[in-house]
Amino acid sequence: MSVVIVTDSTADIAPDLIEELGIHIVPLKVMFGSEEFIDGVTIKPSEFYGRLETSEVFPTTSQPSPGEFVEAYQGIDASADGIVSIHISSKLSGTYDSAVRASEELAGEGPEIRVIDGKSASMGTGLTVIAAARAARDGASLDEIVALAKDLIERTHVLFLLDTLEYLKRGGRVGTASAFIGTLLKFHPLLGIVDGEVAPIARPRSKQKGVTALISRLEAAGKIEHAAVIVAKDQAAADGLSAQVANVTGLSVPPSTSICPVIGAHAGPGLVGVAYTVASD
Amino acid sequence: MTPSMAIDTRTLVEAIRAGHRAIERNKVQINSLNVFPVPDGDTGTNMGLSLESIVSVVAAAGFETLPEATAGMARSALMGARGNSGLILSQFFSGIAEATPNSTEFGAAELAQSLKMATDSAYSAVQNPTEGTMLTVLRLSRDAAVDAADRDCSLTESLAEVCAAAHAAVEDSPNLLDVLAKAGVVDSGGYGLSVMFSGALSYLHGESDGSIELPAPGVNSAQVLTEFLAEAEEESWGYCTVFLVTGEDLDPAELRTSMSDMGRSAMVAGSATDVKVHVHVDNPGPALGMAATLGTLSNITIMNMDEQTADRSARQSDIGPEGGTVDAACGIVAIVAGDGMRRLFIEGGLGAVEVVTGGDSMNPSVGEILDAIERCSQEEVIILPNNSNVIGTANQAACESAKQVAVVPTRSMQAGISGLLAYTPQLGASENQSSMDAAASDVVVGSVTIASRDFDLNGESVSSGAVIGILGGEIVVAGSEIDEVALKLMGRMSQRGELLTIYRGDGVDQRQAEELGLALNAQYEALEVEILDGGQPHYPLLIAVE
Repeated sequence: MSVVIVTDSTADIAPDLIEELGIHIVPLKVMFGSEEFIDGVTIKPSEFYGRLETSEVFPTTSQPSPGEFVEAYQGIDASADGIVSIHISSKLSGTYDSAVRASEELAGEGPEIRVIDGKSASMGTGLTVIAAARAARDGASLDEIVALAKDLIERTHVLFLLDTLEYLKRGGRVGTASAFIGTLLKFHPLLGIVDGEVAPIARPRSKQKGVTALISRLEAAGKIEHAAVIVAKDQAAADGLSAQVANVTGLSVPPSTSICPVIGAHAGPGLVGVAYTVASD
Repeated sequence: MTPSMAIDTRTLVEAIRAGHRAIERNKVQINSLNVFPVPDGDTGTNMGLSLESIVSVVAAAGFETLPEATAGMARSALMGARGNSGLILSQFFSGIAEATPNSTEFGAAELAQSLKMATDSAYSAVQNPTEGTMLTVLRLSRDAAVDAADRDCSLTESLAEVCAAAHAAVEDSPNLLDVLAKAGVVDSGGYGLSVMFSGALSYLHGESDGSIELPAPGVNSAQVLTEFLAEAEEESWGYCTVFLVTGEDLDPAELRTSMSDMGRSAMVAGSATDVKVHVHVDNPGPALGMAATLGTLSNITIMNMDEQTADRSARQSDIGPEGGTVDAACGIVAIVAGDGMRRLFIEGGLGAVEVVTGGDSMNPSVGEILDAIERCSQEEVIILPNNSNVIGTANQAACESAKQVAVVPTRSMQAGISGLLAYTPQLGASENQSSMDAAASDVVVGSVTIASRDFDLNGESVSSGAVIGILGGEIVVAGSEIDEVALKLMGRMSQRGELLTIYRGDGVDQRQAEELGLALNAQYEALEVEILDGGQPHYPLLIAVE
């Protein structure tokens, strides 16, 4: 049997791809007060933003417990040639730590498990997971898939625009973009994920200018081999961005992917962005 | 209870339960110390929930033997672990299970063995173990337990030494981890661990059921706690809520009454089909819910005014606690008039702006600008003159300075602000110059001021004291009221853009500016309106569309 790929719900991989490539997803959780939802399972993005706007309490999120990873790993066919578990940046979530803990718990039982820090989020991790799953389907070995994933993680980046830093700040994930906090001046922060954490890039005064700034960064990044547009609620902005991304990269860009409620809780409804993999030399 | 060498299953479970009670009792304080690795204030909550799942399984299952109980707790710890602190707790409970495969009692040797295993797996689980965290507290607790076991201490004596070591490690944590020292706190997870041990010890000493208050060592707990709670409380009131209601037969006046009942500073304007609402409320939910029964809501923005105020005052005094500075390769000198404008330039400048007071009728000297260039710690500097009469002086200062200085020739403070937001601290002066210039050029600016003499405007005489609107250096409109002239002026400005910024100056209060903003927003729906306190002299309003 081949190698099995595991990731978590924050990789934002479309359901049809999950099914087609046999990717196993371990969900995170999102809580409104004492009400707990399973990311993408008992709460979908569409309901989530409605709640976010009307809820009296701010949502919080929580990583899967190691036990949930143990169950997921144990649910995988024991004849698999190994498990590669790729996750959201360990600087943004403890999900990776839970997975490592679970893999230690299962050391010596069942297929070998390799847990990898994806050092990114959303499709920034998703693009790597999808490529790893394709390689697994094509019969790549455990070592080959781990090497591929590590290489892709270094070449895959995320750029995103928000309406406000408020959500990131509230959830404690503002990273080095905290430099942007502290002014009443209005701007739509353009951010990236650098070294696994949120980093500031620019302060465009409008969303339109933000999209232009994002596209010019993408153009400067060199040849792009894969790109995916991610969106919270502003579908119109995502559609516009998709067209421009396709234009500057020359790639056929798949329909934009909705970010999961867990990432939505930390980014806010205004997020629109692009994950991309730079071609190797 | 007398100190015994070792304890039985029931006593061990009770001691763990006491540790849980101690966490619950001190949970708010543990949360308040949580700044690392992610400052989300939930360490105490996570530890409490993790321990709750552990003690509840023991209560429900009623295990008979010690190995059954410890294995059950370890499994449950693994399933119920919340957050990183919960992960480390689960490693401790796995350690307890591994240390007691056939034991009938839990003594100092088992405690030492549990902490040894927990420490090994906790350190190996993370890629880069950070000292000054829960890991360090765990490791030093282990050292104390191993030492006590070697001396054949009783469990109670050993735990007492573990508590002392944990306490000292917590107190020392800011010396090992800079982010803790900067925040004036100790490590929250480590402190939680020491609280758990202390709760268990207090139970074993027969002093309490564990629910004891344990102030964190080495911090002004009252202060941290007050700040934490104040922040939490502030978040529960004072949201500036703005939205548009679209429907049929809407009654703006009636909606205004409802909004006034629900909050403060309610401003409602519009028609039977579109009504714009602005209200300051403790909780935006009911206001939005009520409006949603009347029509469709859109363009909803909710801002926490208290946080903004707090951020602002923090920035004013120095650099904000969160704002922080960045390593800038290039400094900025801005020529600015008005207290509000000064603040906006300083806050918007990422910690790299030196301000020179000046503008119309008070042009700064070359020397003043040179002084400001010298005050910048960077070797490369950008000047934002923000006035057409200052550009020449700025150019001269740039020539005379020994530093590498570039001028972005902004002719207004509005354009200066737009240029400032395009500033990238990591880049040098010449790279910044082109992007800042492009941003500053991409804004259409107008201003409203008072005529200082009689003159003729398109054949109509305008007398001194009238309100006039200026666009591109030309007087284009006149009238008697500021609002009226502003609306007329907007009619002449390009409305191609997304953001309309109104800087209110001398003689215009926030309410008046907000009412004008609503009127403009109703007329130019595609534009988002931002109102800022510029406090500039001579110009009641400065306007920018971009």
